[in-house]
Amino acid sequence: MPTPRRIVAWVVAGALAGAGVPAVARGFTNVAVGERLDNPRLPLLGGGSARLLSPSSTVSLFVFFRPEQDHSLETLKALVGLQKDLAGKRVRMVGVVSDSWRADQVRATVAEAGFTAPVLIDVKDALYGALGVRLHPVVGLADRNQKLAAYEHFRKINYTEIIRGRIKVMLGEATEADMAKVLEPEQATSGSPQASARRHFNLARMLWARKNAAKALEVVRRSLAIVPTAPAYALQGQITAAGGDCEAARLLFDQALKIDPAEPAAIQGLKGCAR
Amino acid sequence: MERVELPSGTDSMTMRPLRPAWLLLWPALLLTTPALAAPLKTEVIKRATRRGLAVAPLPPGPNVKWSHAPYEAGDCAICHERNDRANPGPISTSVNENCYSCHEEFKGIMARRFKHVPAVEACTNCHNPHNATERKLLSGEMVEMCVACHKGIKDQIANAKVRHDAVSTGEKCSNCHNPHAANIEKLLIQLPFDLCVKCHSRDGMIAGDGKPMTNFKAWLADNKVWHEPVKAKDCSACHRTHGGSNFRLLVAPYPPAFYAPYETKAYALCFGCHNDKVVSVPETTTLTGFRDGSRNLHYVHVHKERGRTCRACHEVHASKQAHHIREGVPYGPKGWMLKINYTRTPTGGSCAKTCHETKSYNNKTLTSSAPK
Repeated sequence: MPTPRRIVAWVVAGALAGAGVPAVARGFTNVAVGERLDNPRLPLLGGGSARLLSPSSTVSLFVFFRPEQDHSLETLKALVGLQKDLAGKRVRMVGVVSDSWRADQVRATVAEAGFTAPVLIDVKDALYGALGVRLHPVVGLADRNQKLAAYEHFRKINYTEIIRGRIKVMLGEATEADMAKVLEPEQATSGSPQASARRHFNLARMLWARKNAAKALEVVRRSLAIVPTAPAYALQGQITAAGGDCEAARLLFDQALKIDPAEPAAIQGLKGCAR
Repeated sequence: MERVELPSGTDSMTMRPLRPAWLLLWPALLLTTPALAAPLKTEVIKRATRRGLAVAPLPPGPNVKWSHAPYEAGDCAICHERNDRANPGPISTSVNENCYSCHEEFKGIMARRFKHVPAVEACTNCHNPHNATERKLLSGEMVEMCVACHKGIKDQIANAKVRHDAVSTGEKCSNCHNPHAANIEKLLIQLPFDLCVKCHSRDGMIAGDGKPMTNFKAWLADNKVWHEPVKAKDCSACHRTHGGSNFRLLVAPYPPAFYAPYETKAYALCFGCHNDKVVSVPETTTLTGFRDGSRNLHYVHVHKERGRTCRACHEVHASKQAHHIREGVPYGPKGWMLKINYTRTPTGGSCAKTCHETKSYNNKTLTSSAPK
């Protein structure tokens, strides 16, 4: 029977899904994020046994994988890189694989990935069934109280970034706001009217520094035609003032100060024209 | 960059190619730039030989339609040591610093998480700083330039039985990738789903095989139970976006027909994430909830003379019911919808008056109620 906590989690998830908002904190089929996990002792690939979770670590990462599957191999390789990045931090990583695979098949996958973390053998898929894993690969993250803090199924894009982000949050090195940016990264746009105007302004400034007043004036006008800015009006004022037309320059400095009352070149320019 | 129509027949824009001594300076410039880029993938080959060779001004001609404003105006000293077209001398700082002095926004762009190696090294790896036949002062046609290093993508495009128009139309590679830097792996401008629906959210789109394509915004708005890759905006988990050999650009085989005999490799797409044992073992108490006692009902459905493919019962992208169960399946030559009538129950579920008479299953016991 579902526990009252799980029923609440289903209701919240259902409400979020109904609102068209993806539920963030989903978990395994049988264990929701926030619920306490069992910590079984399982046989190790190389002999001996170990527990799924390490209460002495801040983060216990376990990855269910299977041999002869591209996504598992890709994920194990990515976790090798992540393990290096997290060296010295209280993060413990283990792999979990079904005993339906032969040891030599598992060893081949682990060796190809360069995965050096312990690999636990899930006898008769008991753990897989208890958690309700369903997919390969799947990463679970548990805190030191053995609570499931995050569940992440495979993604082709940004999978490692998401796992890294979750771990950083658990280590206290990142906030939930940082995590939200990992899940919904900022759009990588290039080019905007502002950038184009700024580019023209920069060129005009360089031309003016080389005392090429005519071209500088032409280019700064182009900048102002794209997006009027205080620095561009001020530069046009400076060039105009240097040409001896302080009356016209004052109007340009005023325009600049209307946009930004603290624009230093405009303030300086007005002082110069007042002398 | 300004678009400038060059006057025909003029030779005023002609400049000599850069001197050999100047070319020797390039390696030093490249070494001074920070190496902050993401590691190169194996399918990418470095094209060091091209660097520094595509920067000389092109002789005027009808195809040279794009010119850099300072070059066009003869202001060589904006970038070079001297304002002398015949002998401008070396550039005053590193290539990228030089470019950023006007193209200031690129300092912010290049601070993003994932950086394109050639862009980190030198803008001139891809752009001609003087003039060009291509927009954005690119040294060559965009796709050709990209695949010159991205050999794996070149092969995918060349060998694709199913092509993706996004690769060859509009902004081409830049439809989806930012060639400088991005906040998402593979230099994607946005997460895959957000990019895909820019096109795949229209009615009336027809695939290469003549079949209508789904309007995904509309479909997902109507069907709130989304497949995990859809929720994760990860279309590329299942679709090969540059072109591929499977229908619908699927990354791995999946039977294109409604009925197909069961064979694990025919479902490589689904088993890329799902456990093949979910359908391949006749008895289980752990691998799936779709079981009556220990009798695996997935196994029962697919292991028939005319095996049902996953789509017989499941919607791939989104559905109205749990487990992505479809409301109905097309039946007969006119595609009449045969309702599945699935009902979830506390101990399992049932399907009523559908492909078969009403049948229910109980996954809370270890014994089957159905005759074996």
